[in-house]
Amino acid sequence: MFSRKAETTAQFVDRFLKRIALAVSIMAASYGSGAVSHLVGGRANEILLLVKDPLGLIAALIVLPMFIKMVAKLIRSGGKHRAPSGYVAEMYGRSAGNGFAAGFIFLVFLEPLSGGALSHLPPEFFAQSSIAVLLGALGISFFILNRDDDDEIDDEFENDGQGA
Amino acid sequence: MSAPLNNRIRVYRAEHRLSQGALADIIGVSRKTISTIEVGRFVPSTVIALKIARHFGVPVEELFSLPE
Repeated sequence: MFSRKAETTAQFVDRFLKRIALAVSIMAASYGSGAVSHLVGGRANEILLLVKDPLGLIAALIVLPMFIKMVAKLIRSGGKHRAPSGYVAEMYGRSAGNGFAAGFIFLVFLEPLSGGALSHLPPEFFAQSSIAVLLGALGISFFILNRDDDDEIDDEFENDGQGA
Repeated sequence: MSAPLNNRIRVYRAEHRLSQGALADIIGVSRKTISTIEVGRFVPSTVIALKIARHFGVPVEELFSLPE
């Protein structure tokens, strides 16, 4: 029988950040569908508005259980439950920077259009599209930076125990 | 992009017959962090570098060095 090894704090944090990135990507899709709904009419508009809120709910449900576990761990450890910042945390931070940059560049390009070609659109369009680009860039960047997932690859000393 | 950093973690792991997962548990990071440090994809924080060096009982510059 194989016994499943208990998850360490570092592994939990990595898994939590991956879940957040997934939820952020789904939120981007939710805001994106809200923004695009202002550009299309008829049946497409109805479908986009129909999927917008459920996507947001799915994103919340993806993160909420692990968020509660994380808070519980922090409370149990008296706020001392901190693992050193590892690879996944570093990539998440880098992705957040990329997301901010993409959102900023999008706003710079959107600003002149807001008084011109897109002046007929409501303020919600500009807010939703900007948030979608920011969150979408964060999520995509994170998954690209973590695409070589070698978590399942053993190294040759795996079965040799704790060593010297 | 981070500046490249050479490391000898794999050599010390081999000497100590220590898996990436076991070293990760000792240091308090995930195995992915150790594997990405070893292949040079991730430059570790000072805290992680010092913890690895302390575990192997060597100065940090014995484990990590700048490329010539």
